[in-house]
Amino acid sequence: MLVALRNKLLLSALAGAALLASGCGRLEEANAGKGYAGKADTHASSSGGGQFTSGNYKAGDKTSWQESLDVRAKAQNEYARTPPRDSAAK
Amino acid sequence: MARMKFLCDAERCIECNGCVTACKNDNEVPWGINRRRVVTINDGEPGEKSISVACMHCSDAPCQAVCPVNCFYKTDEGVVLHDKDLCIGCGYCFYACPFGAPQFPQEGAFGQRGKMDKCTFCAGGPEEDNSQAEFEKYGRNRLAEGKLPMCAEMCSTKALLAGDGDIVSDIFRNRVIMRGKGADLWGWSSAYGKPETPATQPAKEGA
Repeated sequence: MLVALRNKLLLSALAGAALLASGCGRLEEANAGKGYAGKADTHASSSGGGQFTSGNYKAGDKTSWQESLDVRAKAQNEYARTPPRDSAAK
Repeated sequence: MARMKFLCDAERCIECNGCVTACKNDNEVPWGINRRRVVTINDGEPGEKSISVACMHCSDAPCQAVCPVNCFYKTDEGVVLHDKDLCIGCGYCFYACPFGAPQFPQEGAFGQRGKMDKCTFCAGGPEEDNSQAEFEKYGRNRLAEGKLPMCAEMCSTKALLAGDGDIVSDIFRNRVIMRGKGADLWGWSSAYGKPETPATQPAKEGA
């Protein structure tokens, strides 16, 4: 009787621990790790961008595509385009 | 390449809503849907702060976790996108999102919801790149054209920055050093999992 009760308690404790452990994962894995169920998407650099492409990157050339984006990202820094106020005054 | 990120500098945002307009116009977003919006704190009071908010393309996206049909995915660049053909418009993602990014068009009577719409970082969706189908469902795919999101590229004060997370944070760090203040970033910890910096409280008169 006592052994059965102890086993029951042990089992429920184990189940509880497993439940707690499963709650500590990343949010993305919360849906039982089923993953994305929709249509597959191609990488942004694969198409070449059509008629409005910026830069000289060609379809499928991921490196030049990244360079094209990096150039535009760095262009957001106006300090890189204009000299700092102190040096401009000299 | 690091993850693609947005960063809005509250010290620079002048609440012009140019980003909102650019997004709506470029993506032809339907009436009633705002993929991006400008939030102002203490509006009309001295020291008010504005910030442009849209999907923050979270590193560990709660919308993706709660979606019952698993219609969310993340690109290699960390952009969180979804398949509208699979979306059932349940609204779980809206409740899960700390930024209120998911938007739902009102279709038909009795508040019936349509399929979820949100900022795509101008990266389209799971359709042929730069096709008509992609444009109609998700808007422009500027990323495939080698460009950054329209909202950030046309921001007049460059308050809103977009692009590779390393480059964007370098630009912001440089700014903070140059002006000597304003290192607080609203929403940064929620989206990117960094420790929150306690916001400085403005000194009250007579205190």
